Amino acid sequence: MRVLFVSWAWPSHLLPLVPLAWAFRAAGHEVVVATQPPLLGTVTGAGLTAAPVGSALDHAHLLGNALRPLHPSDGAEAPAGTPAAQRPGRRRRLGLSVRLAEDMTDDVVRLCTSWRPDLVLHEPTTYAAPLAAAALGIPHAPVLWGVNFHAAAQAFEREAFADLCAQLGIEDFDSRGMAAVDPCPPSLQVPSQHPRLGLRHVPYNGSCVVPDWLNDRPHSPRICLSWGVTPQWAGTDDHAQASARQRELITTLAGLDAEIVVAVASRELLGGEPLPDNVRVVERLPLHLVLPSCQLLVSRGGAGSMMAAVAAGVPQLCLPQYPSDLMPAERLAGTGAAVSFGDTPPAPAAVRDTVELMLRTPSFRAAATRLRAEAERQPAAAAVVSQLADMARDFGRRPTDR
Amino acid sequence: MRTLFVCWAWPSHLYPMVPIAAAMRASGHDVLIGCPPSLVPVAVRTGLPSMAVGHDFDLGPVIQRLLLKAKPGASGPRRRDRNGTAPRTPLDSFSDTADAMADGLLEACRLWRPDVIVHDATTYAATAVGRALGIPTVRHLWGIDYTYLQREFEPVAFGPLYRRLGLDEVVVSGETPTLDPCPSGLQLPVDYRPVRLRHIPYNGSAVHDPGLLARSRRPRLCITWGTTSSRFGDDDPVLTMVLEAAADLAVDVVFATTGKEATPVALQPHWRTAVMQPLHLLLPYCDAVVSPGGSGTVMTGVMAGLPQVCLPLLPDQQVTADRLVASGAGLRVTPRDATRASVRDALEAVLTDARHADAARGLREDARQQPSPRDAARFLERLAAGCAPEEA
Repeated sequence: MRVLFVSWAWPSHLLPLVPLAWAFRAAGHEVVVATQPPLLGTVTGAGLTAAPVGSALDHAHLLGNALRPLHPSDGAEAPAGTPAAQRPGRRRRLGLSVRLAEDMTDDVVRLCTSWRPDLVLHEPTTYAAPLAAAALGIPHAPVLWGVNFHAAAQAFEREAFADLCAQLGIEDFDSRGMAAVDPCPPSLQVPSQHPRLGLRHVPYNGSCVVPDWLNDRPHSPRICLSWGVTPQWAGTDDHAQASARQRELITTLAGLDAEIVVAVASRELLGGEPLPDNVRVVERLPLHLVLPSCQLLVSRGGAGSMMAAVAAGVPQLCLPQYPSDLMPAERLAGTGAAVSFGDTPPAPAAVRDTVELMLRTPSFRAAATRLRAEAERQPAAAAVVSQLADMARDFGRRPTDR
Repeated sequence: MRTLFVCWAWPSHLYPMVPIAAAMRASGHDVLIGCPPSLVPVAVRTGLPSMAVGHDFDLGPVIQRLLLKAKPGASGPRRRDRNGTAPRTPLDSFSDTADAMADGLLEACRLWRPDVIVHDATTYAATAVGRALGIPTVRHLWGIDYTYLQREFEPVAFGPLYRRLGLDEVVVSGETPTLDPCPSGLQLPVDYRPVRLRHIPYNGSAVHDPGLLARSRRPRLCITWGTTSSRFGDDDPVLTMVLEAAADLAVDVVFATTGKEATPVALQPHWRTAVMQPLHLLLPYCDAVVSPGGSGTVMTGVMAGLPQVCLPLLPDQQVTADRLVASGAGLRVTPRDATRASVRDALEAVLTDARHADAARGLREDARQQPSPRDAARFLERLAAGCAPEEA
């Protein structure tokens, strides 16, 4: 069958779809991955067929406007303990998702009309996919990237997408589709009443030539500090100040007897001055290749980093940066595999002390190992492919209620 | 399980292994592609982690001589190798590529510690290194098992390499397990029992071009010189003849090119040119394919159920073309004797004679019945766990 994957053009949203797309191809299905122009090369760089939908929006700017940092440089911080929903970061519910859907929906409809997919799979915030699929009667399902903090948004979808539904001539749509493909181990995931297809998570954080140093055993504990790809300095935050803060954190952590691997999208973020000898800055090195050799991951707890560390069985220290980071970090801490700073500002000395504590407390590693084992017990991609293909075939056989 | 996929430096030898490698990664196995430096950019674009292994050995001049010999106006066969001396075996070029890779591959295996090595059938260094280190190795075919026909030359060609690695006896093709994606109706008869798997076409990745899929009522022919024959660019008189022959027919043509060929003058204005579009995206929207019979093209044509015309230029392409003819799914035109009229007749025959189309669909059914790459992955798991191949 023909299977269309759809994601808006942000790497942490697109990349988790890649291994499942490979599995569909290996089962003999035709696969096309549709995204906005900026990430077409990311799709073809994953060995997959890309299709352009929508336009080259300034995604960093859009995200910067949509997400207000928990600890902005302008000092207008929400008081500690403010529920995520009441923080000033929540500007307009689903505003970014609506903007993206407005950009992509027509092209997704056009692609579905010409290429006629039998199944549409999409990342959860790419509403162009379920909208187009609902308009054309094609079975669809979201593929989650991790802890589903986005689930709460479902209550607001009907209102947010009313205009787009009207344009498409549909009354309503169900973004949850046939079932959620869920790579998150159940003990970590938010409980949901909607059908779930568990998937053994295989991290894909991009492709590269494996550098030689990764094949040697580290001489001291290796700690990975990951920035992910979401721009921490965007919006109300300021690049220079964010950069200075990150340098201070790195320098403080370098005081430990450890090798600090700093994974960044671009080295430029850290300024030109030299860093301590035990710091290794790596640009665009996929995390899933680094983490197996690490004792600890320090990150904001974004889904891509968090899930890659879960798959590697590595304990995590989460330093949430945005309101949406809080709940996943809390859930991960609940498994015993992580410590979360919650909305406490991550003072470098406090972060260093926590890292030190985590390195000498075996329970974190033990919990991370249990979590990895739980993740590995989830059905492998090939099995999920069979299930989804069966569901898509059945979908065509009965009158649709969508 | 850690699986190292090894290939020497041409994409057409790496591509057939990509879907099973990616499928194994998708189910949670660790996978690494090891190849000489010049192939690394191609390997990275599969989405799988890659490592440069050894150094490059340029097979270009050898292949170019073979291509020249096959084309119209060529003089009789001359057997001379790069030093102007008579070659020892037909595998001399591959012993050069094996020598260029062996040390790097030893080092890569020591660093990465694979449980099993899967290699392209002509990447002979992998078998030698695997034997030296006690790592099981598996050949992965790209189509017909042409290398098996040449196995008698392997002890002479690779003896020096094995001795350098401290091994007395050369492990010959067929003695290690073979993963075979070729439908049995096309495959050569062999004396070993292959592990079959379904061929999944992977010819690189690209941005989908919906404009290329639109068709008129006329039959649609895909003309391609593949990634190998087109490496030698320039003005290929055989390709020109094919284009002229197609112009004599009332057909639409998609010319699939790597862009390395000089733009042929014989292209008609209403034809489509697809530059660097993977064939597996084009062929499902065509009615027949004509090519030199490289394995990537032929296997993709088989999976699309298309009848084919082959004008074989290289020795393995000649055998592939003959197998295709025997299956009924294709016709062979020998380039040295080809004329515009003989090519045109062959094209017309595959487009109009339903027997070719029926045989092509039969081959596709045969191919689709093969086990999925998942089963082959299970075989590799058992092999890595130390089970004898016979038990698998």
